[in-house]
Amino acid sequence: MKDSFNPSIEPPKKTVTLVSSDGYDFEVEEEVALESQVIKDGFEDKAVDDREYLLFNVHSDTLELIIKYCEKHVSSRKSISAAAASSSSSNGEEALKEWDEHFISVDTNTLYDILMAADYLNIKSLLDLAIQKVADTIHGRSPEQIRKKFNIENDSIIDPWASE
Amino acid sequence: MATFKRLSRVGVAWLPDEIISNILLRVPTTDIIRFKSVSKSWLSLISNPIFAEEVLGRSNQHPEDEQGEEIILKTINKDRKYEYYYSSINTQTDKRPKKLFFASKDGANLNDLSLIYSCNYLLLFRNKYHPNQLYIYNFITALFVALPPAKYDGVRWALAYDPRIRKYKVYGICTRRKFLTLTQGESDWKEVNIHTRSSRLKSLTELLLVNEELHWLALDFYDHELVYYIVAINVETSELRSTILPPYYAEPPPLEREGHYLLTAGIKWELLSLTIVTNDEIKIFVLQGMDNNYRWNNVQWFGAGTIDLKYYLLGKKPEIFLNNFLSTDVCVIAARDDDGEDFPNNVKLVVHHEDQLFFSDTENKEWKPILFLSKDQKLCRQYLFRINSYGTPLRRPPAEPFDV
Repeated sequence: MKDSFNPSIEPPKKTVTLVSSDGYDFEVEEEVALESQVIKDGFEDKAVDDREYLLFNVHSDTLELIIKYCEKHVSSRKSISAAAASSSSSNGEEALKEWDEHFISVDTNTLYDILMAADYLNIKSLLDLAIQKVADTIHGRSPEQIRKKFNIENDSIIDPWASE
Repeated sequence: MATFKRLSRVGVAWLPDEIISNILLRVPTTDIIRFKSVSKSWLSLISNPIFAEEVLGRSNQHPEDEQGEEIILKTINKDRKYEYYYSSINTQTDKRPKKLFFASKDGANLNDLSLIYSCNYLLLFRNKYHPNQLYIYNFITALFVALPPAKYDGVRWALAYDPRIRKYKVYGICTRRKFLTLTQGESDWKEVNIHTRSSRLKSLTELLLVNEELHWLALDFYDHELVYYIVAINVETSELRSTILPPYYAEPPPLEREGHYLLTAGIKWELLSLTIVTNDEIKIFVLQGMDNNYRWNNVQWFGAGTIDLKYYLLGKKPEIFLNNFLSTDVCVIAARDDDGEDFPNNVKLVVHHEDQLFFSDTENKEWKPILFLSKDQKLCRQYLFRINSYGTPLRRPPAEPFDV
């Protein structure tokens, strides 16, 4: 069987520079950056040598994770569709789900940063993943635990659900 | 474009409302209701009618909401004040039920109210002293709204969702043999006459919604004989039909004795079950004979089981004494059964003993402590509802139920 994928004859990958809020540059492949709907919108109108994005709201620690997530999803999509094309069986979807689950199992602060960054960059699948994770962690908690978790000041005048 | 905002690294600082609603839409409704007391901004977000609409629209999709083991208790305390409590009963044992919070009262005095029906997190209340005055309470927004007074006093009331017009409707069997409906957002009740052979038609059960028809069991005195009917009214068209039940062949159910009648159905709807609760027995009958068009043909009913009071006395918790199925500390609940296969299991019992509520179903007859309830509080009828009991399959309802 002929291997249709040969890296040596691929044209050089186009890249995009992402700049974090604390000033670090991240050079990523175009298709990875395009996972963000915000970058995708109006991407074609931008000059090729002006493909630099200042992400004021995303710290380098978070951006690193976001890029890791997008790279994984881009490469998984490719291998899943390649497996489908050659009709070989693949548990790619399952493996990606597992990877996601592991990826999002982080502490509250990191989860919050990922959530905000996914919202800011409009990466729908990551936003969904983060929101579901938060929902799982607040399920069954008391209002007091929620306040603590989200740093919310207790300004309720009355607690309508307090039992006596 | 997103606005410029410096994000400090001190952890969870601030979340936009949109994200909070998205998070909340993925937790069970019981959680959402509890989270109203997190803060003022969470309360206003959760109480927003648009958010409430989304919760109502999706609530049958959440696995925990599907279980529907949620109850509302009406209690009376030493000062003769009525209170409503809310809880789910499927989790821990050491919980206290939460008090139902009324964000508005709309001129009503809680002590004058009876809780009479529930559907999709909407509760229907009636004024005890003015039987034509009804109220709707929205569990999600905590708003309480008085409905326009009905022209006739109601005997039985129900609340159901009409998917055709995407609105809720209140239905009532009334004095002078009238059937009344009020559509959400309208101020006039519509009336239909109920034609039966005699003037003694008496409804024995609450109205049960089955496949867009409200069913109830009625008793009529005809030709010197007692005749039982299953009456059904279409929630969309108000078309009414009644089917006479044939005499029960073996042993007539004690319908004339004092008892409590519960009509239940499974989701497959080929069967209805009728549960008759008397002082010392719970008898379950199955009514069979609904055809593919949900019409009753060749109705038959047969006994599906009898539960003797003595059986409960021999249960695994002998310190709990059941003297009488009809006493006020015993709640008999017609549960909604979604697979419709296990009819006897449709009946659940809750008993208030000391400062605990115990739960049991008629299948395994084990008493499970579910909630704390002070000895000073007495349960009162209508004592207990599952929030989703009698409800239609949940569909997306309009934003502000009964904002009339």
